[in-house]
Amino acid sequence: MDAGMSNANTPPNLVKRALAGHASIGLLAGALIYLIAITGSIIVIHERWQRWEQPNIAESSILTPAAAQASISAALALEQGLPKTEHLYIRMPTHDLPRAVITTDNKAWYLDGEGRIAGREAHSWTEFIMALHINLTLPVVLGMILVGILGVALAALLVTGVLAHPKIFKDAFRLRARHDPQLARADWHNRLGVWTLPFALAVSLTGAFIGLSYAGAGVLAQAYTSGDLEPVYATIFGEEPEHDAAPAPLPNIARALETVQTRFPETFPTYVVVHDPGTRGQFVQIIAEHPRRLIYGEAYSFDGTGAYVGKVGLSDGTFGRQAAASTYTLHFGSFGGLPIELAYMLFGLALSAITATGTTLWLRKRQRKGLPTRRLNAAWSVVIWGIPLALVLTAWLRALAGPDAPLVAAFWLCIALGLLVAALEPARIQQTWLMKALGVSLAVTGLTHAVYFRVFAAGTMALNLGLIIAAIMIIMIARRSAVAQEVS
Amino acid sequence: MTGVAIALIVIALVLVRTGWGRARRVAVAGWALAVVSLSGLGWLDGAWGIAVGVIAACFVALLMIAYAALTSPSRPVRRSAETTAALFENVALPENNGLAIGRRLLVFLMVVPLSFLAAQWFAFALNAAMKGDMALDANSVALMMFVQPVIWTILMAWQMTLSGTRAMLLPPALAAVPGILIWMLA
Repeated sequence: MDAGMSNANTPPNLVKRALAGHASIGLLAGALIYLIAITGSIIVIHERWQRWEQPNIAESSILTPAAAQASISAALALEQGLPKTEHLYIRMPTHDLPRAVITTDNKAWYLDGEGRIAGREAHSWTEFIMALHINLTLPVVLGMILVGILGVALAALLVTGVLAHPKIFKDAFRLRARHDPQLARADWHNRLGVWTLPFALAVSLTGAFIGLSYAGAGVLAQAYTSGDLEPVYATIFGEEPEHDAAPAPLPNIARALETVQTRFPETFPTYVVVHDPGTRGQFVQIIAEHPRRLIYGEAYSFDGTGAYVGKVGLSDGTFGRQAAASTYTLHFGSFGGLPIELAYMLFGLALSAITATGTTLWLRKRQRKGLPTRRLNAAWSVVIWGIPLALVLTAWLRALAGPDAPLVAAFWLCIALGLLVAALEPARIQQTWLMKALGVSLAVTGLTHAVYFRVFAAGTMALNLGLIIAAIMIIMIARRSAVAQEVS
Repeated sequence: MTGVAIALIVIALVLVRTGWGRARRVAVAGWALAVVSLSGLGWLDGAWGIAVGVIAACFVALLMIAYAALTSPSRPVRRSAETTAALFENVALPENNGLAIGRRLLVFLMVVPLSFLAAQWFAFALNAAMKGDMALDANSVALMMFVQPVIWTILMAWQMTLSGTRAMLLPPALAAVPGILIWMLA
């Protein structure tokens, strides 16, 4: 949606039609795209949020092969009376998250440097934000397909947006931020749109790939493998050996880790995956990161004795394998450390701003035409400012009620109530009030966290500082917005 | 060398900005330097290098936009009638023909489920053509999964620039028919 004056001459038909199409897609999908964009910006640094959410867990940057081996027995000893786990994962400590975590089908535990259980992994708020982004908290497959569809909608918005703006490159550096609010909004929308275009195309299409691959795999499974999805995914991610449930000693993952260290010294193990632990059919995979690669890692396979069997070929196999394994890091921005993560956060926030300003431009025009807009305006304010406010409130709920608090229900209840009030009593929804409430809640969150936990880790302090800075900026924008409303 | 290539991208963006609307040759030189730097990153570090280079370029451009915002001259909020009209001209509103639920539903059905199926069918046919009589393999499976959202994006964008609902049938048809031909030849 372009309200820039640079395009004041009568636009050709294609431009008009592209504008109409752009507006239609934006109105249909804008709210959910905004939700996905804002949660995506947050979870770029999800490992840092995990540390922030549970700041008092002892950290260790190393988990030796012997300690990793010891952790399996320690974790399985806590599984008495629970269903037998079919998969066991050890997340190795990394720079972003210097905590080892062992996860079974039933529970997840932090490990200390000796491989002993150090506490329950209970970062339910971080996981909730991730679930909002990945599957909108719906059942996983359905939710991921829906998010994939929204990825396509976003990509189509980008294409129609470019078509609708013939002078998009001519105006690429023009930003009249302190001009008329409608003009400033249009300039922000268009300029941010142009310069985040490569990023937005990359994340929308990789997101669509990740989500819609379930549908594609389903089609292939119906056509070629009698509905069985496993052989379809095995073409890319490798096959699992035959199951053999006969009991066997636990696998020798220490030997497997040592083999990776000596045989592939340029790599960094990030995960140890044990399939069917304690059975004769068990096998071990070590996922190891390859520096300066877009692939999320290579999967090195071992048998139960820890003998090397081979690798899947994500790093040097067929092009399809490498390309598929590259979509995840490209989507989540996890391929270049903190600088890339911060850039992804910034671009994600820019995408949120583009989405927010797009529909606001449309609403202002509707208002000007004298069409009924009060309810729509109020509902859009609930989406733009109510969503982040509800995310902060769920963090408070997590802090007060513990990791088992019903965060999903609380979030959707907040949004549903906000939209209900917007529909029934739109005058009660004041955008500047929502903005100020968000700003205050962010500041309270950052300050309370800093004072209560007194954690002096750089990452945690930076997040608290970031929350306070965000709070100040939002309150400043709210005050400016209130002044602009009074004048106009 | 990677650091040098990224530094060159920063210089390239500065040149593009310096030449913007003033010295066309400087801007063109900036774009050329950006292309050379990205190619160098691709040669040095493959897809990773290109991704890092593009992110660096976008980041520098956003810094320039932020600078433009900070140095933007303040203008009075009050505006003339002509200015106001120009401001709102290019925001598209639907024609005033009520809610037109039926038409909107029809458009939705053509753009979402129909085009999804057309793109899926086209991608499936490509998969069949690529694998031939062999078993499923990584290349043909990945190709199908990459092609489907790209084709659907093109169909959706194309359909949404068409004015009549009947015309919106053309893009999915143009994906489905070649899909049939590819499938028959596979």
